[in-house]
Amino acid sequence: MFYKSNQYLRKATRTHEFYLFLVCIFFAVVLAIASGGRFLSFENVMDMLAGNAALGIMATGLLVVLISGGIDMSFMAVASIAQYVIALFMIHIGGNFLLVFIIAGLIGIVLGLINALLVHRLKAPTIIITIATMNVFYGLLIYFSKGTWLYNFPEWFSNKTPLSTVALPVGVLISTVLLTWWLLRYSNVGRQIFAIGGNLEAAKRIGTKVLGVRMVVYAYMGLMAALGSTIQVYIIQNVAPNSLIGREMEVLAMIVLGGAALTGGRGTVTGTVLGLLLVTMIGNGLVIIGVSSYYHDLVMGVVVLISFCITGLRSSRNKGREVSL
Amino acid sequence: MKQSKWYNQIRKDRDNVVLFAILLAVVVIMSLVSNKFFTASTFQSIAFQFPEMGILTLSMMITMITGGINLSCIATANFVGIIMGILMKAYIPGDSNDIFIVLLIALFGIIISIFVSMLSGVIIAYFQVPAILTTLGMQLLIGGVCLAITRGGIISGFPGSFQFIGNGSILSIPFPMIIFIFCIVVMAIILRRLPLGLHVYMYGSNPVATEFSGVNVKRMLLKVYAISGFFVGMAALVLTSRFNSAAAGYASSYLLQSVLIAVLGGIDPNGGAGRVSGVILAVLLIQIVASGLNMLQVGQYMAMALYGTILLITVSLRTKTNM
Repeated sequence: MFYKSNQYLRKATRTHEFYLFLVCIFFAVVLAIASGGRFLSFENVMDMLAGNAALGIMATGLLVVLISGGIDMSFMAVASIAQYVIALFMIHIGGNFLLVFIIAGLIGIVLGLINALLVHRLKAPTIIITIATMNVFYGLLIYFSKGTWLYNFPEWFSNKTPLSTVALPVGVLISTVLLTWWLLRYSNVGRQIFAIGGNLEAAKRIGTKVLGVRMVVYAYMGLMAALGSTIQVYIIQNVAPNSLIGREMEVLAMIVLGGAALTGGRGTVTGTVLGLLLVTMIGNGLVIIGVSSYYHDLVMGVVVLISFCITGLRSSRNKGREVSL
Repeated sequence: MKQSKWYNQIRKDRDNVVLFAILLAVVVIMSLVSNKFFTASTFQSIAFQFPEMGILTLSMMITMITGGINLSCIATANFVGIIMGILMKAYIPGDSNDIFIVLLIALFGIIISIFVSMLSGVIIAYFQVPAILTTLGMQLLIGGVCLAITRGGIISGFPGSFQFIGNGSILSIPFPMIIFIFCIVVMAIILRRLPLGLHVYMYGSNPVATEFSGVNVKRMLLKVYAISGFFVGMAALVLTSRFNSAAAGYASSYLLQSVLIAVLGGIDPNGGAGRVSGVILAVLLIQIVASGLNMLQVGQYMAMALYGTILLITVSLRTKTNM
């Protein structure tokens, strides 16, 4: 921790996060000039923060899964279920903020544990398993909800002040970021998550309880997905069971942009936050500049693929270095 | 000669026998449950429907044998359909049925499909990005391109000679079926007769060893994705012609189904194993189940959940537990 300051600086400027930070600043400046300053106005920055806090919260969960060497394609389905259940709960029973968060969190954790067990038991790629569970979760949700939208929430939930629209999402986002940072960096489980992501066989040999770690990882993912979707309900004030599905790639892009290895074992919370910033700025910037929404997917696709290529090249270069040493 | 070879193959292979037994059981149960099932018209409609699914599964299959996957196949098929649709609208006036131009456009569509899939291949082979993520990203990108071209609209109303591809029959054999059989033959030749086939299986079971045994792995991956693209192009022809229209979001439910069929047909999702015969049986099975569910009026989303469950069960039976 106690590097000499210039040594620390030199080290910091060589990281992926530093370059990403420069890219973020570059984009911010370009967009600010292109939009005539509107991009950096107070309202817009607050809008961006609140509007993408939900995806950011989910991103911290997916980061943990990616570091453990897996991937979860079902988290948006989990989020949709949690969202729908709490919406039903609020409309028919009531409750309060704390209760809503607890119920959503529990649903997320349970569905996450199902994923963890399946991933652990079945010897197929994680992505195939979670695509299957996504279809099960989502299919059942639409079947039972019949695709109905829910709105008209109780007053304690729907009365938003300008302060709370920003404070609640951003507050939850910051606390989940800090929690994830602590989990990955200082907790015992965090070290084991890196271990099974880096080399599963080696982690088993040193006695890591893989099932336990995976349960923590996927339950954490489920919890974050549920929290994120709760925040989203608060901002949008309605629940459409199909509104979240299909946005997985945006979240994945944030993490991969943030420098997490696609094959597990590497990734930082700082990187993910910067990735969140970049994806948010691109999405918002397109709207502000006045690009038609038909081009949104196209631009996101290009950004995602470029970020994949850069991280792919980087990790293959690192692999080469390890072999030659 | 060919039939006895088939017979021996099925006898040798336990998985295929089991699949065949399930297939028969499903047919029997369906005909007991619904008296509308065991009729000529049902099988007629199945014969028209299952080739498109089968061709898509072939495109998934060859990438899965290498341990990869092609999740962008549906998006690519839609893209090809849209391009072909625009070209046909532009170059074929009103009622004319110029077969030559239609063939030219179809060929162009297949070439585009090959190039788009090869782009995935380049990213996978030269940038070393996992196939799953590459093709997911490509799905987003190609879907975005489709949306940008069509602006959410639908291109429809193609000339009769193009509609024949998906709806016509020759000697009462549906034309899609003929295309499917052609694709099966191509696939079987590639996997069993060409060196590429051997390399594909080798790479799927051990990539590092394959590279060290002198195979140009990168070029091989490019070829694999090009072949996958060829099948996607063929599927796009059948799909676009059968729907008689093209748009960005078509056939999205086929993606999970093709993965499911591939795994059901005995292809190891970790790579290295899988045969064409298993895939054919699995396609038939799923198509019959699908039309049965349709007949029993099980909704689309319940069916989706059901397919997911079947996929999980198959994976758990096909692969040994991880303990």
